[in-house]
Amino acid sequence: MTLSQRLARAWRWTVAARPGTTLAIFLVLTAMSAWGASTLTINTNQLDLISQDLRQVKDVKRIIDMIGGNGHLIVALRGSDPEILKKVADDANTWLRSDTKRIRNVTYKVDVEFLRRHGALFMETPDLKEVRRRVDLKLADTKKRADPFFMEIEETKPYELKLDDIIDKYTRIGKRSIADDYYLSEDKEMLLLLVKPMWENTRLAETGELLERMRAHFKTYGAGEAHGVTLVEDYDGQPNKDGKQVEFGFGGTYTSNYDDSYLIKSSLVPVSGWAFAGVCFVLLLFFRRHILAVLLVISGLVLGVVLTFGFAKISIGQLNMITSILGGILMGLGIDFGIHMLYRLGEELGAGEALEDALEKTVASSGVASIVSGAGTVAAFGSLTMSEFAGFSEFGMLAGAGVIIIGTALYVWVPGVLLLLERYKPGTAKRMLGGLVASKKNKPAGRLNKPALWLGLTVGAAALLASFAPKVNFEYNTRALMVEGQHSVLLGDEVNRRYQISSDPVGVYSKTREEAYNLYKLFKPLDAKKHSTVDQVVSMFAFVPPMAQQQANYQVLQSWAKELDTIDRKSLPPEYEKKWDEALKYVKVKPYTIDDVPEALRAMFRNLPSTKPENQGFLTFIYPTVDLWDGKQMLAFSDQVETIHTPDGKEYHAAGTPILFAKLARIVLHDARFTVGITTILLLLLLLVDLRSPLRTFVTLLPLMLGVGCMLGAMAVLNIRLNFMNVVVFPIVLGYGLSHGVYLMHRFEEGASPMEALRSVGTAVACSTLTTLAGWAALMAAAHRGMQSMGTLACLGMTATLIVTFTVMPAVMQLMHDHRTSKS
Amino acid sequence: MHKTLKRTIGAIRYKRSAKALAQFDGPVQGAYLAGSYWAKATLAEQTEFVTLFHKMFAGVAFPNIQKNFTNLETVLYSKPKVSGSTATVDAVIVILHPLKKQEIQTTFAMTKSAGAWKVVDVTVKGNPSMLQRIRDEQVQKILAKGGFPKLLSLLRARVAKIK
Repeated sequence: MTLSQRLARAWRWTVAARPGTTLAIFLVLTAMSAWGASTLTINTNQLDLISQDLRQVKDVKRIIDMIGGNGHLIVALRGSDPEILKKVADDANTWLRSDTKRIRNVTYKVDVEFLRRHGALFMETPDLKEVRRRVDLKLADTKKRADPFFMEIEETKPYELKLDDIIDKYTRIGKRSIADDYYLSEDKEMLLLLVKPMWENTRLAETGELLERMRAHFKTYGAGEAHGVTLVEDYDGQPNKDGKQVEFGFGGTYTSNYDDSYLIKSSLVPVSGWAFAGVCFVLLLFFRRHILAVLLVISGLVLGVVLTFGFAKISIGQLNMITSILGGILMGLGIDFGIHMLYRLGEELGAGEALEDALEKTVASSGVASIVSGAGTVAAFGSLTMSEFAGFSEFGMLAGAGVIIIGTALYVWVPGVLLLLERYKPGTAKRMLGGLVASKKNKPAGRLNKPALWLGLTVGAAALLASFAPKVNFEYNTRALMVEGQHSVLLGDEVNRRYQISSDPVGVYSKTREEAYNLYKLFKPLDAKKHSTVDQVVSMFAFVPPMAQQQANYQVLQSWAKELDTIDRKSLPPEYEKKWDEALKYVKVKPYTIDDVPEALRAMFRNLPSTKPENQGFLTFIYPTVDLWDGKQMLAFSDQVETIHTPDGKEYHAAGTPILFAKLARIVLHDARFTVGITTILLLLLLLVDLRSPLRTFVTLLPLMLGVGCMLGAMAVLNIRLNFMNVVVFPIVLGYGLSHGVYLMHRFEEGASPMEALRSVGTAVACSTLTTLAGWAALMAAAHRGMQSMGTLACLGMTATLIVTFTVMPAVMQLMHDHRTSKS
Repeated sequence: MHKTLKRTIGAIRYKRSAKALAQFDGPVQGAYLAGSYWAKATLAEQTEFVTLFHKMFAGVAFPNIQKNFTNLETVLYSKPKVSGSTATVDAVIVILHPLKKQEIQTTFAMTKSAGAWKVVDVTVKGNPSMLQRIRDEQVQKILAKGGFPKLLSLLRARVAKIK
């Protein structure tokens, strides 16, 4: 007795001998799993997916403790009248602040009068002197023309005072416009409210709820036409021309995190629906009259998926953003066991075997093949469990466990139900499956002619396509993975354009003010080579010009003030008098230090009162020049600022979403290579143990190797790129692609000729591949382009391996069969 | 001297330009403005200059002064400082604007001509005098470029523009 036969016999004695008891235990377990699965929650906190021991994660958590969260939820108001925008913002602020349960604080204006008044000290001294020169010319000209006795023989135009070219250089201090207290854009068409919720930006459910509350509030507010305007949510980037409408939109880190996950989640139902419909369609296509058999398998599949989610409850306790899509994928993968089982069982029943014997033979043949192929899939998923990224490791664990659970469930449920039905109504199984595979006893299978030529042609064609494989590119731009025209992204672009700011900054923590100052000094001036990705560094010291410059400017201002003091104020017309007093304030400023800067400005760079003692300190923000959507540029920015050394020998670390995502990107890229390598080795070992022959192992691997090569070649030709999302599909394609060769080779090992093997197993392989394809192809219907790319890669890979299986393998097996028969 | 000034200010205020101009010593003004060019000019040129200059004065400066005098409250004159046939008189022109009181401190330069005191120049405190400004910023530059004929031609063009 072979090992397979012994396994099948053991299965018969345990599972098949007492089908009622077996099914009862199975159903009880399933019921318990269903109860457990019903209590499963989806943890939408992306931060929990990364190892909490990582320094980058700890740094971000410190910032969250210091300032209540990383980034903001931005409410942007757009309109043609800045005064109306201010009024609407005031009302919005009042409402938001009243929600003390959800809102920590709202920032939409900061008193920058102090900075405006000391603006002259921020100027470079030559600029200040030039301003003085031009103002003096204007004053002299105005005084001249104000003289009632002034007249000209040759008329001249009044001196036009133009200072924009100089003033424009200094309207922003520390990334903040000082032209207005409100967060108005330069063109005065947009006003921002920076909302800090009570939770961090990775808590997606709470953010979603807050967004809906704000939408509902603005709808009610707009209906009341406060200040004569309606309020409309809009992301077209242009204010309404008639001025009777204010447009609002949501952006910022909180919103973009939520939008991305919301789009993924909202895709799940239609994707799962399409997957299920696709699987059912393929099954009905192949099984036609045998609907009851299909229903039996599908019911077993669903029970297996329920058991898997029950396992998820006791093992991990919750799902995450990635494991939440497991249902559809497991359906597509798990159905294969049922399909191969049905086909083999139908074949055995069609050959006149009794049900129990037919089942035993099915287990011995396709059951063992299913174990091997399933083991390959489990190995691929298992390699993901070693990832540092919990999104992948949990996915790998649950998917791998799911394949085992579903396989077991099908081989318990389907035979158990058939045996019970057979007991009460003999002949049921044959009626359900009879004729599924026509008896081929008296029908010769035929022979593949000229196998060597056929092999040469097919391998040649595959190799030609695979030759393009090295040209496959990696898409580093994460924006390409998102839904086109995602609102928070559009608004982010508009804000960046209107406010001339780059992406969200990273924060560098320092314990003392002195350390914060040393950090700030390090970047002044910016080393364009060492910090090529850095746009600006902002800390509270950005509000204090260098003392040497202050002193030099003070000299200029003092002499100017003396000059202006000689002008008799009483001789001025009354409309000029107020402006004169105002102007003198700007000229009579004195140098100041950080302690003179208003607390409201300094507080932006310090911890909240509620911060734990060990996290109290100061923050310095580093703004990037580069587009952080571009993964390569994000990595470069992270490399330049993640670790900072000051001249006094201290080390600091930047923290924030870009650093986290850079770390994540590195983990994904590393894990992609690692999992593919590990999977390949595991598959090789698995086949060697199963087939005990290097030649047969090589032949079984052939569809996979050539199929993957063709897949990569096709990707290069069609310019389909690998990216941070679809790269996780790679090991799955490897694991699944192995199954084609395994089933064919096992059938061939039983003594069947290649064409007999194809006839017997080929339909099952085609059916199972198409059902799996249906599962993955459904992802291509998702609005999220990252999910689409996963579906595309999976479909390309599985189609390529299937085609190679039906072209290359028969030729190779024919040559082996010819050699086998000639030897015997 | 005070009477001359009062007459002058009153005439300007009530738009009696001819009467106001009669209080000015044109030839002395012309000599000051043209400097060395004055002696070289013919009598006809000198006469034309004074006429044109006074027309410009009346057409450009008088309306400005009238505007300032809209809310004129009073003019406070100091004691004249006489030096031979020349004198200076400080005066404070008090204007009562709706929101505040404005005081324009002025100094009038006068000469005695044919037994009567005439106004030559006026200075607002903190500014160059009226004639000094016109001479330094305009007349001397024009004379240097094109002499008296050029100056007269520009004055004619300027006066022609005045409505």
